[in-house]
Amino acid sequence: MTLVAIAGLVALNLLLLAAGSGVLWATCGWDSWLELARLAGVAYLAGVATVGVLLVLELTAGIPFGLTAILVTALAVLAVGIVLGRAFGRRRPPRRGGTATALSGPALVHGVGIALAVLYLEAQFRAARLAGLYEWDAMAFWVPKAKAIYYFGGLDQQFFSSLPGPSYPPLVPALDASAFTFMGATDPITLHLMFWFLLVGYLAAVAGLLATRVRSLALWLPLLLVALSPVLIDHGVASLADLLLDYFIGLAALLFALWLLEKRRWQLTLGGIFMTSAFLTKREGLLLGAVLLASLAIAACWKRRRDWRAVVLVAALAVVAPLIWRVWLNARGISTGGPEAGYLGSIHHLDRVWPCLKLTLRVLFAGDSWLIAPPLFVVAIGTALAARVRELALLAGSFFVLATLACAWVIVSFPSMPITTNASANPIVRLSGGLVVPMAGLMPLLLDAAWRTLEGQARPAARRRLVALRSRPLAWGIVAVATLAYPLAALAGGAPRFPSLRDCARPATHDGKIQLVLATFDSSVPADAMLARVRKLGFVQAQVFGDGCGRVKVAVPGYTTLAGARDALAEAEGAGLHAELQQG
Amino acid sequence: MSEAKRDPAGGASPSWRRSSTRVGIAVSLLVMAVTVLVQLPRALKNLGDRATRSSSFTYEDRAFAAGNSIIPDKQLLYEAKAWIPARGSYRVEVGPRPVTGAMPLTRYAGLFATYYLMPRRPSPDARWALCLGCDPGSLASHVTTLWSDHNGSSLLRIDG
Repeated sequence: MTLVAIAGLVALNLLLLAAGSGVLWATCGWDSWLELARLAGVAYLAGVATVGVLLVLELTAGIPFGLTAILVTALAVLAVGIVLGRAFGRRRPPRRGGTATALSGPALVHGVGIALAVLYLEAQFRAARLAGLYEWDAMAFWVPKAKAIYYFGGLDQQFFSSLPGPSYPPLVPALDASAFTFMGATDPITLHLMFWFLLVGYLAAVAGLLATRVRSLALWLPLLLVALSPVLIDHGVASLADLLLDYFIGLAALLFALWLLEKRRWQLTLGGIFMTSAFLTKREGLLLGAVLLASLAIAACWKRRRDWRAVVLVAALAVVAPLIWRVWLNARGISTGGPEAGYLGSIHHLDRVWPCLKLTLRVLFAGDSWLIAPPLFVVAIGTALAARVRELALLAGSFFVLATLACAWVIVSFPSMPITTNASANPIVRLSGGLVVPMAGLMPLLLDAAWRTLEGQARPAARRRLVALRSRPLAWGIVAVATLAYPLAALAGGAPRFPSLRDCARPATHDGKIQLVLATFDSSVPADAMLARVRKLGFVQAQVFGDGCGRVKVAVPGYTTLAGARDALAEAEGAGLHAELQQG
Repeated sequence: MSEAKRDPAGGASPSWRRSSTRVGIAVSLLVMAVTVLVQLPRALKNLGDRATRSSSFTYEDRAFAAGNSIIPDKQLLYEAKAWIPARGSYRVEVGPRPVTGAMPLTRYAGLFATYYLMPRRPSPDARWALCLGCDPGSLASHVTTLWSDHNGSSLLRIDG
């Protein structure tokens, strides 16, 4: 809850950005520093994915967790990235200039899109900063597992076998534990900001990847639509693994889609990295990842049958890390999880199939969880099909159908799970995020690819570029105003507070309610003993109070003037007590 | 569709495809723009209200968060933190006796204690016991009550 904790989180996330920049340099490089800035979101999440996977592998190998392990891992990723980049012939861009790629579409639309996203993210930051840990799964096992890694330096057998969800891979707990390490304490409140950074990273990654490829309107509207969905508003900074899994699946889906269109190897490589980290984020990652790979295989083999080999290679490499985790679970006799009815047990519960499918479709199409993103995604697929953008439409369509069936199958295979949208009884809303969050990247591609087929009637590219150049200062002005407007409006209501234990012991500085605090303890037992002692000394009005921060104080309340309270203070000091005056 | 409107490749005619594409794109972008413009102010208000609510909580309420609906008396866990050494272990005993302030979720007290009291470890034969409506006599022959709120919550030390 302090500035130091926030500064620690910023440092950790800069470290992850640096590590991810190494990954980006090795896989695709960049032509200018502006291009690196544009792809910062991709670099950051690549850092989260790579460092996260390596930390999980280190934990399973028994390497002690701590600041050294985090620093060495992140810096090793950066160093290996630099070396590989050189080996692949990447050249350092000039300090200024370089061949920066122009943004696609008017800069003004980009400016408005960035401004709205910044406003929204600032509001999310403000809501996250002092949020308590109310998410049940976070309290029940995600954060306790992170605390166990932080306190015991590894995968403590007792906690990792007895806490709920023992088979969930520890990528998110490892990231949370890294956050605790950099914050200097197990602060579950400030931890929400770690998830805010991840949300920023995802929006920035999608925008960065698509800003030069798709028209600005087709980019920002779907991205904002998904970001503003009720699920993301309510749970965007929750200390859970669901959204991080959705971000990884979303980026893998977007990179695979780009690979279908452009056939660049780095897109498949980076997509594979995000796929691996999705496998290690949650058990559901395996299901969603398999669905995505199947969709990619269908789309890739549509025209060029040979492409299936690349898809199989990515799948084979991505599955190695989760296999290691499974081996670790087996070696310690911990259940590897799986559906309640068994993987094939759903056939005994066929009566649940239609109700579960209906439930999934209701969550997707009713609008109270994801607004109108899923219906518009279907429209975008139809539009792409009409425009004969078949590969992309096939990828998106197969993913939509298979992921919908997969979500329904999860609910079918847990027969004791009631068929309801109530989040405390059924995870369908969170599960559907793996289907909807990737739409933020796929929908712009579908719409833009369809739009391109109408190119003959569009404005000439040269004129579009001219518009962009002219409107650039205005675009930056809009971004600057939006960036400053929210903090200034929030500051008008008072300076930000950083609650600490000191807040419960405010020194008396003016007349009003004043207490003479004679002693403060962590437990009420010594406080009771002290109360008896001070009453014998003549402070018969003394009482024991909770101080509001978990401590117990022995105090005499009821003073209204500072002068009167100071007389009592002198009396207490005369009796050998280390007393103080506090407001309240 | 009549044969005249089909293109040589066997699909729909180019003009039909172009019109559907144009309509699909226009409708999608228009609906998205309206939704975003309606939803953004709602989101900002919702998040602003949440920030104000979080800010108004006391340090204790914020630190306990979900625990506020599980633990009847927060002082029990504060006492446990103060008494049980960081490397110590404890058990949570939820018994049949009435506990003032108990809620339906109080049965998850053990889960919350695991989260809140770490690095202290839960253990079925621990020397320290967090008692919620339990019968101390049923735990051992020598039990010392270190703290009690006299409403059903107490911290016990099992001496033998």
